[in-house]
Amino acid sequence: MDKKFKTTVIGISVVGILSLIALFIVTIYWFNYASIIEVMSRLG
Amino acid sequence: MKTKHKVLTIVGLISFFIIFDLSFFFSFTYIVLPNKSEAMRAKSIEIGEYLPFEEETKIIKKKDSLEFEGEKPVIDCATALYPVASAFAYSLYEPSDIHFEDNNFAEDSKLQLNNTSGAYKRIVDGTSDIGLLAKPSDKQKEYAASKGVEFVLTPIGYESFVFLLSKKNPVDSLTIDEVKGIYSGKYSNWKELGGKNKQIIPIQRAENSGSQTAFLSFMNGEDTIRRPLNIFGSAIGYSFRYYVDNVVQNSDVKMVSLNGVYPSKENVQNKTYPIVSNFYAVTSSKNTNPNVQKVLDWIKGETAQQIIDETGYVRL
Repeated sequence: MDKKFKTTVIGISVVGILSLIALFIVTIYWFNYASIIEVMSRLG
Repeated sequence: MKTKHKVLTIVGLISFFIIFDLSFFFSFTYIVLPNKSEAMRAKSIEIGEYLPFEEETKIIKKKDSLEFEGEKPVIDCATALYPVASAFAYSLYEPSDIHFEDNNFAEDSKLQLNNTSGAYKRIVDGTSDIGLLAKPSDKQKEYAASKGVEFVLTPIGYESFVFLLSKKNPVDSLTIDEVKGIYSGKYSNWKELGGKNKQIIPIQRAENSGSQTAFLSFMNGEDTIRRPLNIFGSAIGYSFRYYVDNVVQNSDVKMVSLNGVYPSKENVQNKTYPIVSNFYAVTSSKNTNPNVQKVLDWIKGETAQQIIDETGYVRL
């Protein structure tokens, strides 16, 4: 495996994992601000 | 490694991460979609905080008495009307009439909380006698008709139907036409209504819930849209004023003025707010328990009306 290809694969993996972490943070943020949904969901 | 294999490996890796990341995101956000999460439904109201005979209860306590001969009526209710139902139970019943176990009322309890759809079903089935509820949906009426039952609706107070936005949304007032336009798909961005450049996410509730029936009545037969939830949009939802203001008290949500009128209790009382309607004590046309009419008459009387008023609803 040549060095350039190896670097590309590692780069994509790092970006992929960082995106996952970013989405996780955004999801938590979204949960915090989902109160309008919570209000509606809480009404029986 | 051949160039073709390298390209395939890179494309495969990118595709894997895109699919994996998006699956993660949607699987997490999906669980808070309205009525999809048991956990969200379970905490609809802190039942224990409004129990009739607890010392620390939040209900309005006004003791009264009625002479009952035979079975006392079972009072059921929508979540939003539970504080009123519980206060009625405190007024008319004895502690031994109310049985609360495992965070819910026991089957033999004279006070029940089965939410709008559950309460309507139990009234038809004869397991609950009086339901404190908003108007029934067409499906609920159809279910009653299929069992040869008609609902008898006794108005007992007033409530307003309100639309909700995030506090972060700069829009504070909408017209009825604008709200209808949002829910029919005419408006899709808050920018069109004086807000930020954000997609409008119109949220609806499940069929047969009290607020969904009120919403469909508000839309008056117009087709409505549902748009997937996403973090880049800003939502609009709906509920009843009392529930938003007194039960949930969520500081991240605000009620919007309709046609320039804010849904305050005063504006519901003087009926300047445009969507004010009755809520009812609902009974079955087939119910033969004579105590039911006694309780209905009592609810229209001064003590019960004071309870309705002091709880935060608008009395007759």
